[in-house]
Amino acid sequence: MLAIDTDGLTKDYQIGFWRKRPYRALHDLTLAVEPGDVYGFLGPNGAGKSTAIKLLMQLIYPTSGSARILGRPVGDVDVRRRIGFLPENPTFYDYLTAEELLTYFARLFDIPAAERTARVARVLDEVGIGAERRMRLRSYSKGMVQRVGIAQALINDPEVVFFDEPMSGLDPLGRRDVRQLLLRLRDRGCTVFFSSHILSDAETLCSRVAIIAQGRLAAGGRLTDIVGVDILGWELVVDAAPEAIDRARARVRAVTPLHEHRYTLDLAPESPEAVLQALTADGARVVSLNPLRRTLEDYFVQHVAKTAKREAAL
Amino acid sequence: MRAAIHDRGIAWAVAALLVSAVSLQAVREQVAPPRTDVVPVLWLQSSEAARRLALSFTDLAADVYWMRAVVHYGSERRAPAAPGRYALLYPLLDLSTTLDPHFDVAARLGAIFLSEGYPGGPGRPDQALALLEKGLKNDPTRWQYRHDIGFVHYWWLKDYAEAARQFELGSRLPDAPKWLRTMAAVTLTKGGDRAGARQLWNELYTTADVDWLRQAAEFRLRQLAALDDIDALAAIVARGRARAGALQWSAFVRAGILPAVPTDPLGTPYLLAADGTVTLDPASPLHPLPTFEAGK
Amino acid sequence: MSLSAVRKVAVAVFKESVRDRVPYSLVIFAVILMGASFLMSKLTAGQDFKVIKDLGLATMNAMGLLIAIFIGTGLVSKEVEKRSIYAVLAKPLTRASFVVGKFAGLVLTLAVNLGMMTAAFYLMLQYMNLTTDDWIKQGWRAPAHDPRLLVAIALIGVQLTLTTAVALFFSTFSSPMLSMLLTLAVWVAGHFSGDLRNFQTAVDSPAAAAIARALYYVLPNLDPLDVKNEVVHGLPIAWTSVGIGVASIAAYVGVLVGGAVLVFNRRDFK
Repeated sequence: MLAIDTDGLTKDYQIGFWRKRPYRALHDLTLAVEPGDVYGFLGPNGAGKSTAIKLLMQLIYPTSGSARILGRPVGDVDVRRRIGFLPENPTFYDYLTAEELLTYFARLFDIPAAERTARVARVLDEVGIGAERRMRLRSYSKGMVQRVGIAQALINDPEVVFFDEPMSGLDPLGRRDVRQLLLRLRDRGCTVFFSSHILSDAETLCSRVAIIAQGRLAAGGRLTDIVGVDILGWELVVDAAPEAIDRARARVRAVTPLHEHRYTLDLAPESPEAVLQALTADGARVVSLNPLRRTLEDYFVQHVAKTAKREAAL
Repeated sequence: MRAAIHDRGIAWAVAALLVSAVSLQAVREQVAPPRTDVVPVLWLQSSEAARRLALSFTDLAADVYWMRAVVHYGSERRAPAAPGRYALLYPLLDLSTTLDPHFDVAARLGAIFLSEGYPGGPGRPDQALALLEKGLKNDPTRWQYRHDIGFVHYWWLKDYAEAARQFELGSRLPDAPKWLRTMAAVTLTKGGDRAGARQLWNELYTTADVDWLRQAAEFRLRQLAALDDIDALAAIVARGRARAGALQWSAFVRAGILPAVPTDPLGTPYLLAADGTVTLDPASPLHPLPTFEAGK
Repeated sequence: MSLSAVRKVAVAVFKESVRDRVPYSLVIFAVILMGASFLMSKLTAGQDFKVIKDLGLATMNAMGLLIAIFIGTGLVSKEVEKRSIYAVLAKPLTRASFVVGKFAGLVLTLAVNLGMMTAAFYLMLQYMNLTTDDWIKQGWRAPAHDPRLLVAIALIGVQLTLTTAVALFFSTFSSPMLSMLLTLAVWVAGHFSGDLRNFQTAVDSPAAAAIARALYYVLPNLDPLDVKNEVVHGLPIAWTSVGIGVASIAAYVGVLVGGAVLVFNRRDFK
């Protein structure tokens, strides 16, 4: 049984005031998420990521197509006991404290009273909300609200979680915390489906990704397949005299001066040792040597651009 | 530092403006005070319109018009005589009783104070009857309306037959007091009679459940007592004028015929005229006294 | 739709109102009554009990109406606008439970509000009762702390329930401002029903009269539920008419809440 699967999910909006024209926000989305996956749903702003998640949470209704969560159709109320959802830039009830909000949601899950208090405390600890949990949400910073949002998505120990831009509003420390939390969820066997336009997060966390652009699924697959292990080249940073660089220019693909005798050299993938030896013999000092692999960003840009061209041609 | 000075400047400006606003009010009072001699206008003349506009709040609106009527009557009473006095009393009571069709007290106030002539009221028993009859249509079993209608006919219109008929009809209504039937009889037989009047007003006084009604009845009883006093004093004067020697109260007191200068129930001395007639001082609050004539 | 989910949402709405509004409305009510009673005795010529009763009932009616309209129109629309609804609808409760729960919560709030105002009201009446002479009381058509006032207040509660349902219904698909105006319009029309019925006597056009007559049958009729006058004057209450009125209002409430659920079920929350 798949954790999440969609079949030809399409969403049209009617825009315009007098003569309504349909605007296709999502076109024929078909994807499958295995249980235990950390699935990154990536795309530029306005690509249709939020639309897809809202369709999965049945906040909006599809024009055609269907979707299932844990084998049950998306509208099924019971399956919601086993999932958690963090909306993008969430807002909750200002006049409640974090504890009260989570207690209310815990009640909606029919979590018995005795267990409720313990769970609320545990989940707030997990997202890093301390004594502020007794203050009203009105006084919370954006980052704190985001943490509360994550907490309420986890209050019922879900099997599948849906996070719409989970890193939004968080500072670097907060983002690290969330990354670690997502990894912990993965380790617990939870299926994580999250949308983002920040690729570096996806690269560290995901087992699978889907790239969506202009409402269409542009590409997708296992991260390891996409990113690959092949080394495409080397990036060498050296401090050297200009003459030494000139002498080495023929053996490298590109030279970029940084500042004050520091240069970045782009080497071909085959053994960089030869160039290294030549430069050091010439008096250069090595600062760093890094392998270049295909990044998710390369993949992303490539496919998004392709989709844009295709749409323009249509 | 600059911000603090800036704020202080603003604060001073605000204070200055406040002072000037208040002073302008004071100046206005001196130079062009709002006119108090203008008769207040009733914006809503139609009681039906008022009922529609008041929607669910008709009872409260009725109360507001009632209170305006009370205030209007009180202020008109104290104001100097002018044409068109009490002009709003009937419209206000009419509005009140249309907005609240069961507001019997408003109609009953109208019965007493609309009927009374100047200076106590506008002298419009027809308006009083209109209010009472409207009330009767909405509350046909309320004996108080019949009683008051009868009273208007009796006291102000001097139509004793009609008064007795109303008292009789009222006596047949549920919860009617026994004395209503007696009143019917009394009116018929002793219509123009002071004794009959005393009986009626006395009943009203003892059974009144509102202050102003009780006071009105008390006032009438005092007037009747004054009439009795005048008759008694006239007899005394006739008998004792020779012994007193002069037609002055002091002479009678010196002659031991009277213990002191006789005063009406409110303390104003009676007047003794040159021809020996005793009258009420026109300055007395009891003036003018009611007159009794043979029934129409 | 599950009753337990409805109950939970209702309690949440109630708690929100306790934090924000109930204390204020009670204070305003008490202040109005006490202020009025001080100003009154000179002006009422012995009618102060009638005036206090009328004022108390009218204030309860007015304040309840304000709460029903202002909060009722925001019940659902505010959550949608603020997007706080996203997290809630992801929980295991149907949209129907959510809507009905919000409605029930506001009705509960109104009931508690009315209850507290009633207690204050009776205290005021008892205080005035103790300071009034007996000879004045003999003329009263209704006692000071008349238990029938509770009937009038309960019926005010029924009217407010309908108003809340109207506000809820409109707020599921129109803007808060428009919803407020429409709700107020329905309330006004509900009190004009007598005139709608007799429209043919007011205008010559038979078409207009027919439309008015149709409107009279379709719109809820709030007049039979208004027994304030009868209670204050000690007159008998027409129980049959009241009973039918309450039943018909209950039907309207069902229609409106059901309609709200239907609209809400089909909405896209972008």
